[in-house]
Amino acid sequence: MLSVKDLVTGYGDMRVVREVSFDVLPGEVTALLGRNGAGKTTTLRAIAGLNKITSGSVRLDGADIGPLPPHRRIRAGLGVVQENKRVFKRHTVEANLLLGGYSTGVRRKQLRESLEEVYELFPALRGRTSTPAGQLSGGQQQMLAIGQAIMGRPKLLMLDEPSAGLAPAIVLEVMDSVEKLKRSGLGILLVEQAVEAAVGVADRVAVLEIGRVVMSGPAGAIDDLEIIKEAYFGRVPGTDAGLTTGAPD
Amino acid sequence: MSAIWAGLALGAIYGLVALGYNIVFVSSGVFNFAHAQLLMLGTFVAFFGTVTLGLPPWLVFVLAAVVVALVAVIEERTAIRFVRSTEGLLVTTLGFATLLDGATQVIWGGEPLQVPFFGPSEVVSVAGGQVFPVELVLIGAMVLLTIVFVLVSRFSMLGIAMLAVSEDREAALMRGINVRAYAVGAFAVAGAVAGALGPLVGPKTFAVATLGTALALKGFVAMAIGGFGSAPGALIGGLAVGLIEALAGRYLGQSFATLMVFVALLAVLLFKPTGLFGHARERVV
Repeated sequence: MLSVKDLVTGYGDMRVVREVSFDVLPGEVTALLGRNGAGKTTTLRAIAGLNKITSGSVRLDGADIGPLPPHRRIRAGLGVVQENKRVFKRHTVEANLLLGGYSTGVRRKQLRESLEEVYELFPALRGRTSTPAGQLSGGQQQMLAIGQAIMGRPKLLMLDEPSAGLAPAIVLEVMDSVEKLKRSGLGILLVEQAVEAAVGVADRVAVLEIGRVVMSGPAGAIDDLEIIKEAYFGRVPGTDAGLTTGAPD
Repeated sequence: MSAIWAGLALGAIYGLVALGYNIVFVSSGVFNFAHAQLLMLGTFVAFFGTVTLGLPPWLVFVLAAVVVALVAVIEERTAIRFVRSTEGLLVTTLGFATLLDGATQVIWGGEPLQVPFFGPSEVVSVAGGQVFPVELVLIGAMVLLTIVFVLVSRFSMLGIAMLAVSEDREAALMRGINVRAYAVGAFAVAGAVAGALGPLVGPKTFAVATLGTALALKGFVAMAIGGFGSAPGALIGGLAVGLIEALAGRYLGQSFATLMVFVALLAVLLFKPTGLFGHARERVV
């Protein structure tokens, strides 16, 4: 589905991410972990087309989407939920959701079906269709942001810090929706600082440290979160438990 | 009452400039300082079509709309697209305005040219005041345009997407919206509207190369009073500026006309800094 190979990106001449590689498969969650400033969001932004790719490739279902402008990457099947719950606060919940499908080529009839799917996934939004998004709680805004991305019927969903600033109970609800979307066959790239929340739904993990993958492998191989936490703080563990250090092949 | 009609007609023109500023600002985040010059160009094309070529009125409207829309798109491609900073856009849009001022002066000269109105030209009496038919048509056109833009922006997906681009360009990109196409489209629409109204504005103001500069300032004041990004604000702000100017000129003397407009602007900004219909904007820092 999504294959990122030797990605180098950053801001202007400053390279923030160096030769990062990982895959996201259909029906799986790949968690991109790392502490603040590790390059997780920069990686996601480069995949979405918001940051320039210096070298390396980004392929979605085998097609190189690197040369495409951001809006065409979305139309090609990327769904993006940015950090800080970037919904359109002056528009109603329903207008926000319809906008999610409007420019992605989804037909009008399908938009109605997608709306129903979103309301099933997030029942809290159903009774608030006419409410301006700015009046929703933080958790509901996050649900709306995910709903917007789903409305475009993406092949791959990228979530940037979906748990940030949310109460623990809401984080569980959001992660439950991620689990449901995964079971529906969607490939998901989850960027998170909250290790426990991410590993709970992840099938694969890649840990970034100063712009490089320092550890990656199946999440099932992790029987002790301390391994990841050590990687966070720069003490890269060995290759026990099926995990590999450095960029994957 | 005649002064009120004259003020409303003048205010409708200011409102048209403010509406043009808003269309572009909402869709692309750019303040196009050359928009009043586009309206001015519309009056010259109206003169060219009506007097020089002797075309029928409907064709003059189409010609003016197409020519000015094209010029607006050229402006977007040459003076906007490649400029990254707000300061840079200030320079390039003002530069384009100066270019249009100069080009119209070179082509049509510095003397005011009378653009004949396609309808009746005799003064009529309405609600106890004397008014030219073209002034009534101008006021009606401004009200109609405002209604159309409000309906489009509130009830069509195109309008909703346009407002989304205005609120958060990057988030709009992440919803698959081609924000660059929207920017070009906004320039084309704003240009077409400015051009199409040239045959109505020209008979009131004449086609003259200083018209753009004169309208730019009052159009900006109309937008500031009405609120950035609001079509009803452009209408109310424009009419308010026109009325204040006409009534102050009539009862306080011409030297007070512009002064009172700025007193009203200061009063509005003091009590409602976002303008009568404007919204405060959130900014991610």
